[in-house]
Amino acid sequence: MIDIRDARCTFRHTSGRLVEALRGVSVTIDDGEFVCLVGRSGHGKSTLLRALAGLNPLSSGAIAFDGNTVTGPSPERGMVFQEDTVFPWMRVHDNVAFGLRSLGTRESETEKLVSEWLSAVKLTGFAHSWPKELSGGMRKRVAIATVFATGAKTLLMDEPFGSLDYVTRITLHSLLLDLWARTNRTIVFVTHDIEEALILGDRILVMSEGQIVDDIRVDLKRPRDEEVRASTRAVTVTKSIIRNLGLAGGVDETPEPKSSDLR
Amino acid sequence: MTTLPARILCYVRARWISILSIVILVTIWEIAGHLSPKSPLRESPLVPPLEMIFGRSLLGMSDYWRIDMWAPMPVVGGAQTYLGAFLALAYHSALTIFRLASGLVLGAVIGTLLGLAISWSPFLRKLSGAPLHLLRMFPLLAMIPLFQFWFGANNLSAIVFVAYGVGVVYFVATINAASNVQGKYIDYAHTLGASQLRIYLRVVFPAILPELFSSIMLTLGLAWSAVIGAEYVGVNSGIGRMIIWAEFFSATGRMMLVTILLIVYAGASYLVCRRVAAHVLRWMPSATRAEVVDHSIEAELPMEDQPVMVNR
Amino acid sequence: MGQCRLVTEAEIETARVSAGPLARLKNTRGGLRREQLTALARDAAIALAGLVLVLLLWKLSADAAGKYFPAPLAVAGNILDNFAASRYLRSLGLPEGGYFPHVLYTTRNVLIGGAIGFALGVMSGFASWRWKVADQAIDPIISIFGTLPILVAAPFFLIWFGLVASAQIILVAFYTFMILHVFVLRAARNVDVKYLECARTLGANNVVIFRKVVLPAALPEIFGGVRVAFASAWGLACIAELLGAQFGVGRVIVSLAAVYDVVGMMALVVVLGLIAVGFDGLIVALRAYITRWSDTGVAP
Repeated sequence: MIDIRDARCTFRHTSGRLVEALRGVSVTIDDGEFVCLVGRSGHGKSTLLRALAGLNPLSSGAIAFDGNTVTGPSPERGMVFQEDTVFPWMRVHDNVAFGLRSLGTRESETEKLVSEWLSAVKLTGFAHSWPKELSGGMRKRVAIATVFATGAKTLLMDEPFGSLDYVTRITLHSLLLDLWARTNRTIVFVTHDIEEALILGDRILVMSEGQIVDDIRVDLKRPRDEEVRASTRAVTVTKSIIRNLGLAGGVDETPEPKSSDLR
Repeated sequence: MTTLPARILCYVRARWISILSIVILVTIWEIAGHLSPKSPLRESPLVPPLEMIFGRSLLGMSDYWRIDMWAPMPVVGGAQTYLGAFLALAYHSALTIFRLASGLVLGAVIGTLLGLAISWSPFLRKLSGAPLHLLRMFPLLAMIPLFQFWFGANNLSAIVFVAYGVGVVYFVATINAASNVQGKYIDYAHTLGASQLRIYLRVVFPAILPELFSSIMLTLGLAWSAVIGAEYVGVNSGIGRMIIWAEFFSATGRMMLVTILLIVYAGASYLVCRRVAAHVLRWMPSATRAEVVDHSIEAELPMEDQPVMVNR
Repeated sequence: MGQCRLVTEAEIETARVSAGPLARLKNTRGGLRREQLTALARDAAIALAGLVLVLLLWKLSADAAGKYFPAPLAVAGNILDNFAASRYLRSLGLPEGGYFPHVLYTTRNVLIGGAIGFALGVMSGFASWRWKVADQAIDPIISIFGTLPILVAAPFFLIWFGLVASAQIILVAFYTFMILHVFVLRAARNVDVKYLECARTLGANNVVIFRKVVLPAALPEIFGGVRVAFASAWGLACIAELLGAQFGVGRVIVSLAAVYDVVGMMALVVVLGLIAVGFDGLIVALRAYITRWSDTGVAP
């Protein structure tokens, strides 16, 4: 269970300007939930996710996983990044094995898990390929396999499909949902695409200006194909999200801190 | 809180390890200087201690004052004077710096012009690829005797040598930079009706300026090596030559003095070039970083600054 | 369930990608190689043409300038004549005959010095990246000695170590050390933060991150440093010899200069240049192999 209590995070840009990325976020996430964080760019979604991962320290407040406060990154909380983080200098097989080997897993066990997860993401024939030989979508699948292979209880995903084309994205949606259903892990998924949040999440947290402004239970039935997404309930949810985002915000005055600015 | 002594204190406190490092080195030198063997055959001990470098050796520099003006000439029996020493150092320094600057400017200009000329025709550029690569790899310092054979062991030869060394670098750098100018700018200029010449002057040349200016730092080091090397081998004046004169008598004190002077000159020239380059390139955008503010401590946690060295 | 249908789409995507650019790699291997070969051949032809052109220009200038600028054939002839053994050189007072032993001597010293400098530079570079203390301690040395031309140390080394070989080796080693330190430090710092973060979230500790992330990512740029260091190392070794050695390429050049043998001088410069080029080519080939994972040929 993930417990976020009054998380605050303030950055100072080198120009001297203070940016309050998180302004008191409090929420509890249960095991096995698929939670989507939705919001406009620069309103705190990525900051919250990185704080969950332990990559950004909080200015105040606390995040606890099953009672243990987060102090830094850990393989218990796997993360799939927005950018392509598959190591180009290792073959696919070694990439997926990376987390396992870092944890000191026996080599025979590692082999088994690697081939298992590669077949789970439908990349069995590519174990010995270089990442440069794969398309962007395939590399994302490698990243997903890597993170699942470590056995992390929680998966944090920061707009992982943002740079992919539409067809690839919907393919990966179904893949991710398939893996989630099979393994029952907790997933926190950041996206600015409301439709994507509707396809994926049990629960949508709407963030605006560093705070959670709405917590919606998405009780649409799975699989969420086009008919379900066009249903009245779905449309109501979408409208309410848009309203929540539109109300508290107005015109952007401050440029968002990019992920590369925040260390 | 930014008064001068406060700032100096802050500077020292941040860099105390670096300062300690230098102090330790100098101390080791000093100890070595006092412990190293003296010999009647040599003018100074193997490692000259500091007081000797700035005392006797400095005075000894006046030996190299060979002009019958303003100070006595020890070489014909006159006394060693500090004035003579400073005059000698100034004279030879001026010579060396003159050669360096002339060669640098000459080489940069000719190298860049030739590079632009070759870049004019893409075919020529591809053709010159292999020979240029070879040319760059030929060891510069090994060619000193060759240049002195061609031009004599004099000012001209030193300047030409420096110009050659620097020119080759600029030649290659210009060709590389020109080929890297993004096609989209050139195409754009074409669609606006610009002639090839106009494109060259207004698009290609300004676009390659940043890369050329970063070459300055590299060629500066090269130019110093070239001019000192030339003075080591044949040319009979300049501070490189002073080191050799001192070396003949194993006068390490004098050698060290001139070397320290050289470090100062070289360092100053780097600073000047860096300033000039920064000024010319001030229109380039620089990256900004953010720092995390920790509310619970109410103090800033500065992020570690990671400077990226552009060129040595 | 509906999920059956969607899973099949994943396989469709795999198949679609296979039919694209990757297909060439996996299926018609012969086809790809033919394309690559023609491109390679064309580049080689142009390079050769360029060299021939330059040789021609050389020949023409030689005809015009006469005794100051020997023709390429004369230089080539000189190399062949004197390479293995030479009574001519012995007549100049050089201890052994032929260019070869001198070339070997100089090359050996450069390689030894380079290896030592490389090892030290890599260690200090990574140490400076990892521990701020190391960086603060070593950085002033690099800054001070970085600005002065290394060859000013040559006369000192000659006095202190007498033997030219040692002086050469230390000169080259020191120079290589400084260059590698700077390149290694910069390469390590340039490793994209995203890889470091990703590795941390996968449970990697510092040792694993260094060995499996930083090191491979920094290698391409480190090779660049090796090239830069060796480009000047040959000349540096020569200058030590030019200052008064008994042996080595520099010594031969000085002797030849004394008798105004410009053909011989050029011959030696050419020989040394060819060795430098050859060695550089080796490094480039090694880098190409080690970074065969890269699609741009440079660090990620």
